[in-house]
Amino acid sequence: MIEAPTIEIEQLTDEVLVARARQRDAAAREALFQRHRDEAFRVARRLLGDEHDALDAVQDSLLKAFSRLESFDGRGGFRFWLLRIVTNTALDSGRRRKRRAAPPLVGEPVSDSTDDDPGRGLDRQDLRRALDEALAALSPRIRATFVLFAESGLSYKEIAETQDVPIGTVMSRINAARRKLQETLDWEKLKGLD
Amino acid sequence: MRGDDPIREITSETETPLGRLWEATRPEAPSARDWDRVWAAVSAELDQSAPRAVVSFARPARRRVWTAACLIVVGQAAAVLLALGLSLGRFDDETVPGRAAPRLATAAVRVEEGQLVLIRSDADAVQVTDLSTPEGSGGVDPWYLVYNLLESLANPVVAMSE
Repeated sequence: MIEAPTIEIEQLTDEVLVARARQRDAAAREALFQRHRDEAFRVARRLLGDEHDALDAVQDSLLKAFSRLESFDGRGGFRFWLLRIVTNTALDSGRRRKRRAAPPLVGEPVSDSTDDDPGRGLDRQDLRRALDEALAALSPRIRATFVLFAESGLSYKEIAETQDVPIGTVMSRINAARRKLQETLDWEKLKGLD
Repeated sequence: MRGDDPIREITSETETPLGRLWEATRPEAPSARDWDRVWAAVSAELDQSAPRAVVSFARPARRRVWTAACLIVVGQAAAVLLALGLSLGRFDDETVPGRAAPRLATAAVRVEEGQLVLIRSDADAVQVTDLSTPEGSGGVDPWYLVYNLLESLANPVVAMSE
C-alpha cells in the first residue's frame, strides 16, 4: 500500500510528471531527475571533459529546468529541453573555467564501477583523455552537436530543434566533427592501447 | 539519413576505431552518493526559492496598503496639528496681555503738497522727518532714518548655536 504511489509515479510519462512538477510535486520532480540524470551527465561530461565540472553543470541545469518549468511549452518533451539546458550550461561553464588540462591517469574514482581490472581502467583513462583532447579541439557548437548526436542518439531533426539551427547545419557540423576527430586522434598510439 | 544507433553509424561510416573509442570511453555514471548530493542541493535550492517567490508576490502588496494607510493617517494628524497650532497662536496674540498691540502716540501732522514726510509714532511722541530736503531735521540723512525704520520693523533675530 505504501509503495504503490512510487511504482505509479515511475510509470507516468514525462508530460504528466512535468504537469505535476509544475504544481510543486516533489516526487514528480525527483522522478524526472532520476529518469534523465545519467544522460544529462554523459552529455555534460563529454562537453566538459571533467566529472566534477559535469556534475556541477548537471546540478545547475536541473535547478534551471525546475525553476523555469513554467516557461517550458512542452514542445519536444522534457528530455530535449533538459538536454538543451545542459548543453548551454556546460558550454557556458567551459567558457568560464576553460577546459582543464589533461586529467590524471589514475584519478579519483567517480563511481562504483563494475570494472575491477586496473590495467583496463588505466587504458580507458588514456583513451578518454585522448578523446577529450580531440573533442576540446572542436569549436563549442560543433562539439555540442556531435555529442548530442553520438552520446544522446538524437536525430538530426531533434538536434536541429534543440539547437535552433537547420538540419543541414546539423549534418555539416557532424561531418566536420568526424573529420576533425579523425585528423586529431593519434590512431597509431590508440591502437596500442586498444 | 541515419541509423538507430549513432555509434554504429560512426563506426560503419568511418571504418575507424572512432566508434569503438567512443563506446570505450563512455562516461561512467556518478555514484549514488554523488547523485544524492546533487539532488539534495537542487531540492534545497528549490525549496528555498519557493517561499521567497510567494513572499515576493504577497508582501509588497500588503506593505503598499499599510504604507499608504500610515501616510494618510500621519498626513491627517499633521494637518490637524498645524491648524490647531495656527489657531492657538492667533488666539494667544489677541488674548495674552503681554503681547497686546503697543500703545501709539497720536498727533496732528501738517504735510504740504509735494512734501515727503516720514512719520514715526512711538509710545511717547510722534516723530516727523521731512524727506523732501537733502538733509531732514537735525541734519540727519533722511534715507538713513528710513533704513533704520525698516530695519527696526524687520525685527531680525540672530540664532546662535554651538
